[in-house]
Amino acid sequence: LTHTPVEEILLRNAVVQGVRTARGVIETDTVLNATNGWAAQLMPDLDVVPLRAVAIITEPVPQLRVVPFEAVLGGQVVYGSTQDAKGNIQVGGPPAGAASREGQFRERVSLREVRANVSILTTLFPSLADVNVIRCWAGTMGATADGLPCVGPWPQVKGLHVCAGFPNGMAFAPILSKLCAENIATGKPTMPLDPFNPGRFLGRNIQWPAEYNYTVLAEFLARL
Amino acid sequence: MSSRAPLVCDLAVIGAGPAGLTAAIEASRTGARVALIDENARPGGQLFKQIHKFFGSEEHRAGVRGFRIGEDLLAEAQRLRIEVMLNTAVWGLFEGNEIGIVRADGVGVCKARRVIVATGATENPLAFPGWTLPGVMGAGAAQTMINVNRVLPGRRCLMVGTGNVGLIVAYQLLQAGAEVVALVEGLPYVGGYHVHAAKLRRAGVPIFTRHTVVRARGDDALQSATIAQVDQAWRVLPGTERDFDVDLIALAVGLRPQADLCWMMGCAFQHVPALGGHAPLHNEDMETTVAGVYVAGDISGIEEASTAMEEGRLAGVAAAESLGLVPASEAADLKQRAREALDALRAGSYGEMRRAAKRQLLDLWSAAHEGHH
Repeated sequence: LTHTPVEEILLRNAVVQGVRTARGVIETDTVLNATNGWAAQLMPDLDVVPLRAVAIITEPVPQLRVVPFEAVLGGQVVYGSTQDAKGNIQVGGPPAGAASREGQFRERVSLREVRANVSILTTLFPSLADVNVIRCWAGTMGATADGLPCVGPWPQVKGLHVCAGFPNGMAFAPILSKLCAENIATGKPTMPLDPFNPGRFLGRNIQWPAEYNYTVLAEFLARL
Repeated sequence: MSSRAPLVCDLAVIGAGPAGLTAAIEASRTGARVALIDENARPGGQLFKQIHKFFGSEEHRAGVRGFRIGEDLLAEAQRLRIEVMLNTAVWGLFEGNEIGIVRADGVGVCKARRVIVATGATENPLAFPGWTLPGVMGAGAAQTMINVNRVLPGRRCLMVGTGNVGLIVAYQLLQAGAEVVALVEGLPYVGGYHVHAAKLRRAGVPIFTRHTVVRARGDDALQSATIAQVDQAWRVLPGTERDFDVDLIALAVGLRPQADLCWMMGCAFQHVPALGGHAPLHNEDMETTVAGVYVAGDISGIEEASTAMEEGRLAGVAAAESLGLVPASEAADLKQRAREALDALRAGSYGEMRRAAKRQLLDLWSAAHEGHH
């Protein structure tokens, strides 16, 4: 069901009844909230904060030894670089400036951000200076206080499950989604989900910075 | 990326086709400093491919061949000393009207107080087994090859689609010396003007309505195509297949607004099938929901060159007016004339459909605008 935003998870006595969407109510006893950066909009007690990232992708080049990296350049944390089978190199990175929680959902990319990401690429890989960047985009991820995702049943509500809190892209999503599905279907995931208990931050009352980006969060979480 | 200081102008017009050229000319007449940007080696857009005579009324140059209109516009642009930046692709449009450009000598940024996006249309693809073989191409691409570059893209051609583009390009392929083995059309009737279809029929070219292309074959390049009849649900009817030896399949299955730059800029859009797909909302001055960013021509809904020129006129005057370069009363007069011309061009059953569709964009712009205040 596309173009169908979920507006509310319907509960009665802490038991899931269904979801209310823009196109009507869907009754169900099991709901999986897998909206990552948007997850807390439906579950305010879930401590997953939206986190915007920007990515650029180059035209295809011969296969290089491109490895994922995490680095600090000009005081900013930058990360991520992959090359796909066709040879396009992708560099992901956080935007240089901090933004409000609302601002983390901004889909447009500014010229300054394109320049910042291009300079990451050319600083780390000077030989790519004359390679064309063919696309750029911004996306909203979800971050948690310990860097691990929230995967599994939500302790406060029967029938409500979470699979969210992936701040660095979706590399871990396939395996954790599989475990999450196994847990919903059988109650017995092939690997334990305990480290990812979505309720592990309940009662900790984390005071997230009002304005942040990946760098600000990294420093904030290091002090936490 | 180059650290070259940004080029600042009053108005940047992106795309030097009929809409962009007319917009640049109108704005330039008011004294605006205009940069007209186009990725091609020469301005004119699709006009120089149009060796056929235009339809419409006398004042809209009916009976005149498209490329003559292009020559007149170029002469006027030259007389006004409009700076035309050719071989210059625009790769991004950003907040603050910053325009990312790339040329052979590098990458740069151009900044303008107002922007008119007149980037035209892009051809729709059609996927079928074999559609990626060399020799399968858009009808517009085939038209560029014969009428601009004077290269025959194939000797035996199957045309898919019988809108005006399909009909006209099929005839021009005949004129260029190719054989057109057939036209296929999924609908039960010919989509374009029958005067064009009649010329093809007189030349002995069969038109198969309620047919589609089902597959293309070839080792390294296209060698043959199979067409077949379809039912009302567009399912192929077994036993109706026909094979043709062809080295060119030209796809004329519609155009859609080429609006990437407006998407980047955050303009609001509406999907309007009668206009070819997603079109940016705009007001009666052709201004989008992003203040200072205007559209004109096919980007604001697929029509034709005559309406593109009138929309360009409207956008050019409105942009100049908003810069305080033309008195309100004079601007009102010029805009009124362009709007009346557009109304006249959108007459008839096809025109009425487009007029209603454009009205929808205007109404939605108003609704979006009220929402902002």
